Amino acid sequence: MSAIEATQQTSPATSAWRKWLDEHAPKLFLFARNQTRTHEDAQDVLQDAIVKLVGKIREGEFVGGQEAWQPYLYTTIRRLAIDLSRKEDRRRRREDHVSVGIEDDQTEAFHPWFHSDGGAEENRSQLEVALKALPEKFSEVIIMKVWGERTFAEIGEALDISQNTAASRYRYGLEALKRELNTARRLGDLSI
Amino acid sequence: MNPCRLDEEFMVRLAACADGTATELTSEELAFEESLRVNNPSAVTASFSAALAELVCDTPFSVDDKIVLFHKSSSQNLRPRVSAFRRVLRSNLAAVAAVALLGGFAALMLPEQSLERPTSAQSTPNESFSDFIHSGDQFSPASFNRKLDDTRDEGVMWQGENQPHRVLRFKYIDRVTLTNEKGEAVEVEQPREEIVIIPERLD
Repeated sequence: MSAIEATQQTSPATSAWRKWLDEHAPKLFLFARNQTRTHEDAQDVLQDAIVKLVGKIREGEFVGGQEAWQPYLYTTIRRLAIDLSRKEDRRRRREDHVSVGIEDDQTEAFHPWFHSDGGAEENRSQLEVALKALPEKFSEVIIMKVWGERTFAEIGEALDISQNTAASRYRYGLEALKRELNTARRLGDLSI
Repeated sequence: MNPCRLDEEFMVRLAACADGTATELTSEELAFEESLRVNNPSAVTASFSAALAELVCDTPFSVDDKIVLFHKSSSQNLRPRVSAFRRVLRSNLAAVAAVALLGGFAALMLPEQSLERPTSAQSTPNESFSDFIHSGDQFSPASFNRKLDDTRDEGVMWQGENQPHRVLRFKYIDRVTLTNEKGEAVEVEQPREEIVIIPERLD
């Protein structure tokens, strides 16, 4: 009887979705953060991407199973972020609002990209600064590979490049990131 | 004038692309990757997480191409569509059905034997109506009919030990006709649901 009660109280789909979102939303959100200018833009983009995904699933238009959701979401997040960026650029040109970038940076300080475990706070912030300093074409591949755990083939598919190009960008990105982090650490040592 | 020679690093990169090893990472690169992965992405805020959960609340969750988790059926869908008269009849005589079900079987199948009160929880009769039915000169079951009204696949449910179970819901309408010595007849309908849980095979 308990099994029956369990099905009536919590829908299996609801709990499965919740579990899936708990596991994957932070990774997808990190990618959205990398692709957008602000925390709020990243939320909008991720939300819109999920709306598109569930719309396709409900209408039976989505090709593939659950394993295809993440590649689809990465691709959609990127496209939506590009669209949003173009709209934002047009708006800023119209308004000629030069202080917006500064305000964005100040707001972003309250929304760190990584969560820190105790004493790793400094590493976390250094990593975030170093990633932001990289050209986007490197950082997006690194984020998808390291935290999204995507293959080069999947990254290439999402970014519309070959897997060899994705791998090359990843290598260059890792090298640049390593240099950035080493520099940051040296500066940190000097400041102490 | 000849074109400049390509630098060695770029030549290595081209060669790796040509021989298919460009996507293979070195142990040093893998180690650095692991050191980066120690930093976890920040969790999304509770309000944003709730907003995302709200977005997907009515969407089936496909485990793979064979198993799709469905959302709980709404109570509206499960409620039988009946006329007002039947609703009143059902509410007043709900207990009749349980008695009639067993009594009907007993009367039709075992006419020579005395009726025994059922012991299962599913069929426990209303005491006063049981006395009324079996008191002799009152109503007694004359016919019994069961109709399969609806079936529903509720999807796959995951309980412990990673064993999925498919949940099937069957809805029946049991119809019992009771008559008395004066020839008066009362027809009673009783909806009944069975939930069947079957272990689901995973490939």
